[in-house]
Amino acid sequence: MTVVTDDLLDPEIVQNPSPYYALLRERYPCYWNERWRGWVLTRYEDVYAALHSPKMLADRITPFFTTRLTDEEREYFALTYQVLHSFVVFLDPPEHTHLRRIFNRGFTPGAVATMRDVVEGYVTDFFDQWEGRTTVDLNRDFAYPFPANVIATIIGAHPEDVHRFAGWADALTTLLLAGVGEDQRMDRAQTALIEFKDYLRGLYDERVGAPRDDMMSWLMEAQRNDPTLTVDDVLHSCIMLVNAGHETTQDLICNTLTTLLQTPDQLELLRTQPELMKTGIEEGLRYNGPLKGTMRIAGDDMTIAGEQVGEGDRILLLMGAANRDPAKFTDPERFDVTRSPNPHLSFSHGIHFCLGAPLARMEMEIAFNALLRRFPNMELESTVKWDPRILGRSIEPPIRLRLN
Amino acid sequence: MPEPKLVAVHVDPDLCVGSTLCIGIAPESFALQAEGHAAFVGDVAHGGAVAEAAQNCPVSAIRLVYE
Repeated sequence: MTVVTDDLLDPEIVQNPSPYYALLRERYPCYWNERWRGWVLTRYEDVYAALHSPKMLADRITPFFTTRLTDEEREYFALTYQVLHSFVVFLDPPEHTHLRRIFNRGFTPGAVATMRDVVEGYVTDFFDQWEGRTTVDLNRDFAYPFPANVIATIIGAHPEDVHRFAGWADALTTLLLAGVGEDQRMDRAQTALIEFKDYLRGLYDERVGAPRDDMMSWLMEAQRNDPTLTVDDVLHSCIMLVNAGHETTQDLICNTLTTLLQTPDQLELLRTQPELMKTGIEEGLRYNGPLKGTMRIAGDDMTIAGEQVGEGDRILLLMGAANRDPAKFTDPERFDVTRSPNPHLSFSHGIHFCLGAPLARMEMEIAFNALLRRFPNMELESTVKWDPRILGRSIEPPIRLRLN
Repeated sequence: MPEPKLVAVHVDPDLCVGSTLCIGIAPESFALQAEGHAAFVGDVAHGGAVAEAAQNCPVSAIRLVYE
């Protein structure tokens, strides 16, 4: 009998989750993790089915607040609950259907194409600052500020305020993506939410009767035409958009570039055949996507891979494991920029499919085309050390690159 | 100028991610299949919201063919 560790943050697993994923997929496809207190799914087929199942609930915020907190804590963290509970990612139908359809209009492939100039402008500006330097920190000098500036511009924030987003987004991400060693993470997140919401309220008020060409004005217009939408819906949604559009893209840039730099033949392929950029980016998403997993709550009793899952049970869907399932992908441990088709689950699937996927894909394509063309000799100087997170997959900064 | 006439609607099952946005926008034209992706089940003569559904697809999986 093989012993399976229940420590999802075991340093070896964090640095290289593949062997652990393979063990679970092969032997325990629906595994009760006593330490995490939930089921863990790893096979493509099961993760896919769960993402598409109406019996898998996305609202994991309400169960957390009702079962894990004391009455006193619940009252104290009421604002955190209120904000998180209005995020479209944590809603189930029918509330989800309505809100998702509204926001979707702002992020369709067509709508995102109109943001191309903004994205190209930032890419050019950041890489102009790299010229003449011998080393840079990929994270600090590009991967963090680039998507942060893009999403801030889209929402309508003042460029000089973008640096304030960093702390707010980090506090919230630490709460949502289950970082370790952070006893105060709920307190930090709530303080950040109060400040962030207050800041956005300022942007909102500036636009009353004076709409501009930005997402905040557009959401306000949607709110005017839809009596079910509240000011809070608009503000909370902006918080979600900033958060979602921020760190995930940052991690996707860092994870994909470091993977490429560690696989020189694949990097060379992309450099010499830029037409492969599209499949290359999808392979980056599959191989080391910014989210290892996501969470659902069983909405009913059900059987998964022979196990009896009870209503209300927590379920961890490991997209990272599904993305390397040999039942779905040929030679899944190989990083292959020509892989096509590539039905990875890194943007999720089903009704919660990433709203920002068209934007993320465009940001990646523009950034990587410029990176590979302008800095053809870059090399990775740092050792890649993955952050200990249950859901997120991110690299500890700094990520030093040698450019010449 | 007359509107171009819609003659066919295709949903690419390899691109479709089952967001079901098309079904929400044009429920008479799209339906979810057992494998989790959408298919066109409507009547091209009554296109209606089909174009809006295609625009809203997050992965551009819906292709409209005009005469």
